[in-house]
Amino acid sequence: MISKSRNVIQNGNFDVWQRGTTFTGVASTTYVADRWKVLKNSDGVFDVLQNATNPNNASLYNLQFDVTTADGTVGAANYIILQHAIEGNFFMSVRDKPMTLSFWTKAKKTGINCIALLSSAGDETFIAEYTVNTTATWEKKVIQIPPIPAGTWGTGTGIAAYLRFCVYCGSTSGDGAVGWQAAAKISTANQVNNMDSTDNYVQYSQVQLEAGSSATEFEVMDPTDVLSTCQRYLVTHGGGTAYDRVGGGFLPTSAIASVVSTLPTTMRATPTIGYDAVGSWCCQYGSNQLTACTAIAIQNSTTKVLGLNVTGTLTPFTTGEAFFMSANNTTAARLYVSSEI
Amino acid sequence: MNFMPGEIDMDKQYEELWNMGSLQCVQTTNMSIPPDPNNMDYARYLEWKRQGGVPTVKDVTHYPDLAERRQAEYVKAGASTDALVVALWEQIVEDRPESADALQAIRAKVKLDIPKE
Repeated sequence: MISKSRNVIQNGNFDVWQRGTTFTGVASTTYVADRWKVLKNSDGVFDVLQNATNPNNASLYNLQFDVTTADGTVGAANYIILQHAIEGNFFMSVRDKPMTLSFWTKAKKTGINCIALLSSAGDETFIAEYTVNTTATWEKKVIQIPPIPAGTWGTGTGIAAYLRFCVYCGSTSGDGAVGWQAAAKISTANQVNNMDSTDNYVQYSQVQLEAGSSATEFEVMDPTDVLSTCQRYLVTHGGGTAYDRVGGGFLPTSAIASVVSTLPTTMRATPTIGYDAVGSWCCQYGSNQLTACTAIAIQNSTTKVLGLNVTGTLTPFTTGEAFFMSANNTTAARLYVSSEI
Repeated sequence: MNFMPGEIDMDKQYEELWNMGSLQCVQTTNMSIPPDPNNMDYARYLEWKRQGGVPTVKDVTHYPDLAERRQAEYVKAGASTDALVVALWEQIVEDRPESADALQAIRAKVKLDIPKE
C-alpha cells in the first residue's frame, strides 16, 4: 500500500472526531480526534476540545488542550503527550529520507516546547524544540528531521513510529537532547509547563509530516477521503437516529443471533468492538418487534466484514429467523469498531 | 511493541470465550477482542498475560436445547424433580392434588414461554 497523500499524518487537520468533540478530564490512553491519542501521567486535569478558531481558512477545526486543574510542580515521571501512531504502510514514503514536520500552534504560555518522533520499538527518538513566541497567537512551525539513523521501526500494518507533541514532561523522559538519540525520550529539559495555570491552553492545527527538506503547503484533502482514511482505524455506529442500523443477520441457534455488516473500508486489522451500554442495542424482527441485546461479541470478523454474535431475550425467535440489529430507540447508542494503533 | 507505562493495566479482567466452537474471543467489560496479532487490544492482552495476568476461561460452545432450557426454568420456578415426586405422592397416595395442580400451572407457563421451535 502506498499512501496517495504526501502527508503521512492522518487527520492532521483534525477534521474527523468520531468519538465525540469534547473530552472532559481526559484519562491516559484516551483517543480524542480520530488517530490522535492522549497519554498522561499527571495530577493536572485538562479537557480536549474540538475548536473552530483556526489559523487560516484551510481548516474547519483544530485540537485544543484546556487546563482545568493546574499542576505547577512537574514530578520526574510526569508527562502529557498528544500522540499520533503512524502505520508502517504509510511511513514507507518518508522512511530513509529527510523529513519535514510542519504545524500551527497557539498557546497561552510562551516558551520552548518539544516534538518527538519515536520508533515503534522505543529505541530511537528524534527531538526538536520550537518556541511559542507570542501568547494566544497562531504561529506556524517547521521542523526538519534528518534521515533515521538507527532503531527498529515497524512495517506493514504495524506501528512504524509515534509523532508526539509534548504539553509538559518531567525529568525521567524529559531529559532528551535535540536531534536523534538511541532512547525513548519525550522532550528536552527546556520544555515549558503548559499545565501550571488554569488560564493555559494549547492548540494544534494542520499537522503535516512529509518527505523532503522543506515544508510544502498543508495538503487539504477531500473530506470523504479523510473519513475513509480514519475508518481504516475506527468505524462507529449509532447517534444518527433512534434506530440506527448496524446490519442484518439470522439465528444459527435459538440462543445466539449472528450479525453481518460490510465495513466501509478495509480496516488495518481485525477490529475490536466496544459499546457504552449493551441494552441500547436491540434485534428487530417480525413486524417491528424488538428484543434488547444482553451481550455483543466479535465473531468471524475480517478486515472487510464485521461479524457479531448477539445474545438477548431471543425466545421469540426461531432458529433460522432473520432480523437486523439496530439502536434500541436511543440516539445515545454507540458501537465502536476499532483497529487503532 | 513499545507500551507506555499504564497502557498495560494489571487490574483489568479478561474472559476468554469460545463462541460457536470456532473462534477465541478475549473480552473485558463492553469490549470484545479478536485473536488477531495485528490487533493492538489483543497485543495488550498478550502483554498482560506475559506479565502474569490470568484470564477467566468460559466455554460457551454448548447451547442448551429446548428440553434443557425448559428444565432450567422449571427448577427456577420451583418445579424441580423432587417437588414433582412429592406432589405425585400426595395426589396418588394421599388424594391431595393441590401441589400437583400448582406444579402443573408452572409447567404450562414455562411451555408457553419457551415454545417448541
